[in-house]
Amino acid sequence: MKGWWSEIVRQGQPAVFEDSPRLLFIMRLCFSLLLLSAIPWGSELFKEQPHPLGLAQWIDFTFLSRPAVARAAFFLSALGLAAYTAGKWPRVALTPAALCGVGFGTLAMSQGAQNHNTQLLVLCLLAQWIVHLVRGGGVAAGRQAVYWTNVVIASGYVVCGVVKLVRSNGIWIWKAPLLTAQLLKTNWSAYYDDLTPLPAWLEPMTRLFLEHPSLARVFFGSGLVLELAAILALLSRRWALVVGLALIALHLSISVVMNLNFTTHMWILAIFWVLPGLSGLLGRARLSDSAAPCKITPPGA
Amino acid sequence: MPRRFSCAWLKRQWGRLPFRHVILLVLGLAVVGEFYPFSNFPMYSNIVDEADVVYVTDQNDRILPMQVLFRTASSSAKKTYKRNLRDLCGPAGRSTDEATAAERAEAGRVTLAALHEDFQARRKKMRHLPVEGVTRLRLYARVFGVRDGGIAMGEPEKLAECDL
Repeated sequence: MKGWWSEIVRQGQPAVFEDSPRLLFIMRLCFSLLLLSAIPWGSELFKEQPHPLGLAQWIDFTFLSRPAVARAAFFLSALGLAAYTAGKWPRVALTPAALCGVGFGTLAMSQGAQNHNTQLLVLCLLAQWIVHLVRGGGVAAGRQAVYWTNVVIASGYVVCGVVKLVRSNGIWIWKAPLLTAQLLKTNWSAYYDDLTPLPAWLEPMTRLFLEHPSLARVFFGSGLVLELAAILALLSRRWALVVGLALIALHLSISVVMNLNFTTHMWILAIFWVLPGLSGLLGRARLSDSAAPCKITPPGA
Repeated sequence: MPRRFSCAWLKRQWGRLPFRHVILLVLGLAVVGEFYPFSNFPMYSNIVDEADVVYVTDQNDRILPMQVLFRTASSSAKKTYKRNLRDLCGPAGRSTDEATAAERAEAGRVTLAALHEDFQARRKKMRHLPVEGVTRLRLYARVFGVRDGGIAMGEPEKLAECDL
């Protein structure tokens, strides 16, 4: 079987993700920095778990709100992530960060105001941790960890789209003009946060969407299509680059229009989809510039 | 069992299934739902024609910047309020849309009390919070709706009030 269909059928084999050791190192470094900056490392305000979520239904995570505990957890995780970045003992090295990611995240989400900023990040971390627990260290295990990270990212976006379709009985795009109310809500919420004046385009844009519902369907519907298309990122690094850039553009537009910032998601996409895609393109460009090799090989092959 | 439905056959079919790992994980996330860090990411999956916000004012209904005073966004405070309201309506088998004025007031009171507690903790650390002349806090809810092709902005509803 040849062509793109064969890629779809073969998809699932880590062979598509033959990243070079150098690229794996850069991804580990960026991922570690993202983890250290994005995990909610505890707040003194989280002295209770008023609305326990996930493991908090059985475990009291409030001890993590103590500053000394939070500092120790951060230090241990940073130490482990430094070793993981260097490619040393990933089985042990990822353990503190994985436990802290789940613990601190669960505590933060158990305060009653749930958001979805860190779930995908911690799921990626768990995927990498499990792969390394099973396969140990080395380049091959590193590639497989990256592959499963990609699976987690794609699944996160696809399930988001699927849930929209299921809960709306398949007519999410048809109902999309009603999201205009959400558009107003998010912008007014931002106003109540810091009293920054409402954007000048808000009123004309809401009017436009209500007068031309099809325009609203195209605008909001393109987001749903992109979420479902995230699965294509597993076809190849080029697909990952295209879909990753499109999803980042989607997040940026949501950030501007609805004041909802998914910065962590954008960084995840940049590290695991855009960076390897660009690296592949640059590698090929260098090869074609030198004109010496007649066969293009992926970096690290 | 016919031979072609053997374990080996199933394994072969599974191996041929495109995007099989993603499909498996999507099904898993959809079934598990919200169990941190697992999530089916249901943001804006349930489209309704209304959306509400909560905000805080002083005793003269002057709007106060929530992020500055409480280090809590209006959207987070609304989620807490809704969660409190669900806790009150849930046992009676009613949705938050069917909440009585008394239930909304009680959920608002609990939400405002938590905000007030955050504010007191913050005040100890930061001396220059913009609260000159503020003696009381009021929590309001406001609804935005899409009705007959236009936007309907509801009158703000005072949910709770407390001393600063």
